[in-house]
Amino acid sequence: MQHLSQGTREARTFDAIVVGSGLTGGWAAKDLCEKGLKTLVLERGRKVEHGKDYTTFAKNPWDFRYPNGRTPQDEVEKHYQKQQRTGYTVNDQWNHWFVKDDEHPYTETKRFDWIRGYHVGGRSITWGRQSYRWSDLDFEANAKEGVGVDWPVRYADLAPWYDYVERWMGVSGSKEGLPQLPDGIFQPPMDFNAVEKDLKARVEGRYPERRITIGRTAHLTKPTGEQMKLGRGTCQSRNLCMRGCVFGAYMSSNGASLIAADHTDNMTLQPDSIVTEVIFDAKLNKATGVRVQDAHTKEITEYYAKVIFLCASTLNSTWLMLHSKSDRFPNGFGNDSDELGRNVMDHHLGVGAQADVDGYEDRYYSGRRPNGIYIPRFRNLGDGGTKRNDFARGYGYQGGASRTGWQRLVAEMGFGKELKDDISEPGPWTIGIGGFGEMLPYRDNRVTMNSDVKDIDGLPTLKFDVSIRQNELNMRKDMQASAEEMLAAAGFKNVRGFDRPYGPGLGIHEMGTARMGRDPKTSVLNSWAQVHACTNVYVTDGSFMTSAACVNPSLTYLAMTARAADHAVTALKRGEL
Amino acid sequence: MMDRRELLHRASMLLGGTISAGASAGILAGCVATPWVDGPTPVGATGNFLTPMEMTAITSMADHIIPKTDTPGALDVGVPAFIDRMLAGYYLQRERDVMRSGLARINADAQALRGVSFLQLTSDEQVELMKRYDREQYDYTRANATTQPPPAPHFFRLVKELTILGFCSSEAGATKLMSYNQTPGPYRGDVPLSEIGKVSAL
Repeated sequence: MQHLSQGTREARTFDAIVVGSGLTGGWAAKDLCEKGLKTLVLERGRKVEHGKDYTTFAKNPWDFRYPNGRTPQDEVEKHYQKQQRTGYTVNDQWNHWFVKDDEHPYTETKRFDWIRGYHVGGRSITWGRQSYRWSDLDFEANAKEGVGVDWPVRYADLAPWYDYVERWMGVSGSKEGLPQLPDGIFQPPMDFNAVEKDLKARVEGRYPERRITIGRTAHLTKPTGEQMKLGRGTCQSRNLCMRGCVFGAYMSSNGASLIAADHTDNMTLQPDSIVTEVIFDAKLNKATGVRVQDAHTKEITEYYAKVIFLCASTLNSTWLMLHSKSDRFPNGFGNDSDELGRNVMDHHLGVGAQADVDGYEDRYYSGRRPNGIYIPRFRNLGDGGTKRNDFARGYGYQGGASRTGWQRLVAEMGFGKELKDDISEPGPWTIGIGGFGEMLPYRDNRVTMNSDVKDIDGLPTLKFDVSIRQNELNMRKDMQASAEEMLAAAGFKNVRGFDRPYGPGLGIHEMGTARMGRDPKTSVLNSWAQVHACTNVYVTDGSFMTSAACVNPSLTYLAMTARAADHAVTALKRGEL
Repeated sequence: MMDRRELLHRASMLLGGTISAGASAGILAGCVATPWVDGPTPVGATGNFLTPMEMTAITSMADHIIPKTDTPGALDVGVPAFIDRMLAGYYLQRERDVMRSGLARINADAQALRGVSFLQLTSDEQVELMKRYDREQYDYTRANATTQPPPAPHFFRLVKELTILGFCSSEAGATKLMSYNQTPGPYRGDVPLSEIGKVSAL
């Protein structure tokens, strides 16, 4: 029995509903509100206020219960067995931005790393911030190779939205003129250090098809007036970003888009609200609203709107659609194609090389750059010279050089005064680069609903059956070999390749489970990210991805979100939704 | 070099000045009991895993690993109590067992060497034994670098790692021996070391 006690139906009716307040939800909220729509933003997790709720922001290493936020091992075992697989997510500096696995379980047929944060702002607080455009090399690949289905959009469709997103959120980077990695609208690039400068010169000299650039990252290096008006400032190179940034120096929902949305007075942001169902009206052939379970009381309330944006993160939007069954959609909302929950993709990583660097003892850097170097894709670029016969698509590398600190002394022999003197000295330089590889869409890489395992809210959970295949495995060999080759070519010592065990999801780039396509029979969403069978619902988180490319996906999610929001408002005005 | 009176004083200080007559007698007598358990072993964030006698041995080793010079040393920043707290509240039983049996072993080794406890060795003798353990832990850790799942650490690796960690993440360690700046300002990528001076603590 529903208890529709939260005010009148009128009070629960909006122009638009956005499900989720992470990176894409925040952006959808901003654009819809700025375009005049009364918008309800529903977030399953707790409220987080920019600045005020970044509780660890100013803490020193000695202010935590254990050094620099180390989480006791029994707590890790009890709460974070899966969340800790990245090696960096579980730490008291930012544990409050990640779910506890015992509260939000899922089931793995094969290892799948699903790293999540349930609170206002979602993973926009903890994301990697690397921001790269796609090119038509990516958008055309499926069609050319007969893989999956064709993207219903091309670079030209997204280019103006990339412009808009980069300009508004701020991306620091360097223009390179590469066809496979289009330049954007950049704030000044961050610096290379001394070793990286030499790596760049030597690798580019030896391999003309390879380029080393500085990471393109959503940090402000020269804020615009518009950004400063929102209270955002220049990056202070703390590299403690995952604690949350009171300077608003990197793009997050909390520090940017939700503030802008709030300034319009059109936004109602409601935390602790788990959307469990999209309400579909078969007579109108429209979604009329959503059903919400209160995270504390479990009370059910319905909210209504003309247009609904699902931005709950890829697998949670997919969960929501699978969970929204009706006579019209017995297999899940919008799932006429049976593609919902399929084609799970990530970027496979954890493979590359490291090396020791002699010399440069008199060089150092000031600050901790929250960014690295980037080596854009140089395989299978469409010409004979870069063609690989052992795998399709390609990969890029992220990495960097730095001087070791006191941590190196643990592994060395010796103690006493000499050890103590060494604590104050910067150690030798080391360098490392790791690949991010494109993963192809495979129909049988899928998530399904699992009613046998319930989460803390009493809701069914997801079951994963996802793996990388021969194309990815072949690519990984080349990712390691090319990394070793470049570090050796640069003259560095003791080059050590690595290929660490990888579980899909470890890249935290899960995507593709409600893909876009031209044909409703083989895809869930159309070219505007509208559900084919119910066009007043847009899905603009990573669900819509028809292929993965090899670059970090968030900028493309945001460009697609902005494009969809514009489309929705225009369509509403025309009475088309 | 620390004489026994100073050692006792320090042990007493880090136990809150309430070292028992029995414990001090034990320290002076060399506390040869094996296994070396003579106190309470509750586990919690406030520490109290190590026994008073184990604490004196840890104190002695931490002092040798990072001595006080013209800058603070491990004992000045409370490393022994830190190690106790880590063992009690951070680690699991495996590391506690490693430490407990390691501390029993150093005493047994001292007995075999000189017929006295570790604490009764001269400072130089303690250092000699520690050098042996250092070599052992280095070889053991290297030999097991790729073993999966990682085996339990060597006890001296644990002692050394915890001493360095406790010291370098203390306020004095980070700010007096290193350059500590939580908010450095805009990044500059290529700067002469002479301009920065010391290594960054973070």
